Amino acid sequence: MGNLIRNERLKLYKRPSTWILTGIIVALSLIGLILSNLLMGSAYVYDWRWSCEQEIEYYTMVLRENPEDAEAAKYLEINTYRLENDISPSDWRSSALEEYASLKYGSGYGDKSGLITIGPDGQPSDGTDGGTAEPDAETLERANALKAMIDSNDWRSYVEQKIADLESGYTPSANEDEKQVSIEMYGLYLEYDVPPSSGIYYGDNTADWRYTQIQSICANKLALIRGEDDYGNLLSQNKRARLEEENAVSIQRIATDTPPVESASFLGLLESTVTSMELVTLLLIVFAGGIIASEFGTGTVKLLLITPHRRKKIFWSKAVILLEITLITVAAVFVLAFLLCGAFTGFQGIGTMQVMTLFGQTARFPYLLYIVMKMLLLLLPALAYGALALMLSAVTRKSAVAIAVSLLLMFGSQIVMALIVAYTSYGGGVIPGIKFLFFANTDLAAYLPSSSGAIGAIMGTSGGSLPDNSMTLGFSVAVVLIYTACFLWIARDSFCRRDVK
Amino acid sequence: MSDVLVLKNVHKAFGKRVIIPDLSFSVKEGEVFGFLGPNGAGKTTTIKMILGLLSMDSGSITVAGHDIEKEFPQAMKNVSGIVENPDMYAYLSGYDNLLLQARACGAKRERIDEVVALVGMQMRIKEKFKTYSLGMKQRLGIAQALLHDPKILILDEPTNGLDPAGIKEVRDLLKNLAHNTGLAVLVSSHILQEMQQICDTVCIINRGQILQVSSVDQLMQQSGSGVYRYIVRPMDGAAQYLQANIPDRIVDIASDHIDLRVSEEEVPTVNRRLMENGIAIYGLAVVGSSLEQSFMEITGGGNVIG
Repeated sequence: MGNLIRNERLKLYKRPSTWILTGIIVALSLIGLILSNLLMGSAYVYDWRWSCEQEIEYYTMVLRENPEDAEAAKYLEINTYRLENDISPSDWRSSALEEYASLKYGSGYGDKSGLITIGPDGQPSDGTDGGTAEPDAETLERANALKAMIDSNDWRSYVEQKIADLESGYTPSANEDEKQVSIEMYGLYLEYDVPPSSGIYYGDNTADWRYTQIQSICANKLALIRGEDDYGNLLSQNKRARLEEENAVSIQRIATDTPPVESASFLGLLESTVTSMELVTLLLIVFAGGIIASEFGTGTVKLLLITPHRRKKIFWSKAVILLEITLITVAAVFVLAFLLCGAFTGFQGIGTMQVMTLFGQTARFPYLLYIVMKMLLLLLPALAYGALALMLSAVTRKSAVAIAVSLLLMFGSQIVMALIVAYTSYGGGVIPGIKFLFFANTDLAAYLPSSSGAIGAIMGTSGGSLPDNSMTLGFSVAVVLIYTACFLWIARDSFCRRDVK
Repeated sequence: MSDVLVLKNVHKAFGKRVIIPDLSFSVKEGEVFGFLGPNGAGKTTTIKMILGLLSMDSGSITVAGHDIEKEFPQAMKNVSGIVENPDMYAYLSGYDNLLLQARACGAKRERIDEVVALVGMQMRIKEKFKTYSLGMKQRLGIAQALLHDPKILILDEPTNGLDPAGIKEVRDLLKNLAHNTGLAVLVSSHILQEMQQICDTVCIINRGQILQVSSVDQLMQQSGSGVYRYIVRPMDGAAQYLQANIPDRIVDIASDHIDLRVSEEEVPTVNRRLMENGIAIYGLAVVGSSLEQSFMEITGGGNVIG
């Protein structure tokens, strides 16, 4: 067996196309890395100060025409104040100012919903009170109190006021549960000493990362209470568990002061190379599709099979060498990506810990180790596709057919699966038995948290590229392994039993 | 001498098409065994079954006492061969190709240099296989087959596509090997002349069935004689006389000549008898080589594609 493996190695490694292909795949992975680094470096910068100046100029002009225009006066005051006190759009005072001005001028786009996520272009309120009514004494008093908080940058009082407003019913809530969740959210700001944010990130994000975590906790809690996700689908038991898991992670992050890994950091950049596992899959398909069929194409299979070895040994030596070239390629991609990311970011934060839930346990974990583990886990579907190509190679005995059909299945299944997921998400219901399909289980990345996962969390109950919510990581790994075993069995059987005509 | 290769009641069909109905023969140590038959007679199918490339439907094949189905690795240690073309990895050097086979068969590295010297390829062994001429490929194929010192070498049409010099080279190499090392060789061919020159024993096969197994000497004796064309006058008298006296020697009576099968020694006698009976001989020519004639007779024309 050792000699057979050495033979396969010699045959594969002395073929120029092997190294050309591997080189292309490694180069593509690194180019992807360089591009994502450039992309993160050149984030769109929005100059909010310039925008303030423009607005001041405009509203000054409007007021010169019509000194009675309350709305112009309101925005003139807001923008002047922001510019003078250097208040960026994501600062909590941005939205507080809007609220204050709406009270004072009694018009425009004030927000009473309680959630401080309204921007300058937010939704107008019901607008029943026109723009002309004079504010009453109570409202004025409230406005002045707000102004005092803004002046002293006292977000604690602001948050306390919000809680009081919710409790007193001044700020209306849709129902008791939502009210409770909002109060809890404000409580978290106070508890963990997190200044809130306006939630607007035009080009500048000075908001505390903990703010994002609290927002996500709040959104998840609301979904859990409502019992349905953003699309109106009922939450499955599994999805519930996932949301609760997410909240546990967020809380522990805040409690242990462990910020999520940023996508522009060393580890964030390194993590983006796990997407190159798809390229490795392509490479493996090409090699596996050819390794048996090409022997038939050149007639060398006769030479191979009349050696004093059982055919199954010859088959397994080929499988072993495929595994070897795959591991070499993955290792090359990882090492080069590691060095390249290091060159970009100076290896900063290499030992960063990350709070995440793995195998049902929420814990702090060295992120570098997690990235390596993730890559190895994603290698599994790549190997499964390799086994599929090997099977087609043995059955069809034609390299071109084996490679083309494997690639078609790989990309075709992705498209079909995306459509099925969309169908299921928009209320089509889960297609029975679909979770036992090989192609439904190949996207293991859907289960694994990534550094950009926090963004997904803000968007609520996302993370659904699975056609059936009852699927788990363990289930998918098992399904992929079973299919891989079947592919290999068919390939071996076909190679060992059939006549060589 | 013991039998190196024994086939017993081998049967093979592709789907409903029976290629080999029932085939049995054996090859002895040191024997050059010719496997002769027209295209499509089942030669390559038989060879592929001996080498384990095709499965048998029934029957058994043993190589040096090892059943090829039950003890495949042991059987394959004693046999090697070239099937159809000497296909090797075109992008590898001749040496690397031999190295692959040496490793697979468990032959020592030094053996590679020996077989390379044996086939006279020392000068170009480091060059890529795709740069070799067909003759060199064939020689390298034989070198590769000899790597693990098999007891029997199986060659499927080894001189196919070779020029006369190449054919002579291969022929000499095979004779040398068989007679000096005790290696048994099974050579298949559809070219009779070749068989006559290399083989000790010839097995004639058609439609998967053995028509005759005999030594080349026997075959020559049996057919024994060539075919001679007599151009004689008068034709009627000649035909009458011959039909009355040696009807079994007449091959063909045409309008202007008569073909007779006679041995060289008999020719003067026939000539004398014809002249004594008033028949004039205008011309006399040899028209058929001996073995070819019997081959055509045995296979029934030889152009059977089955």
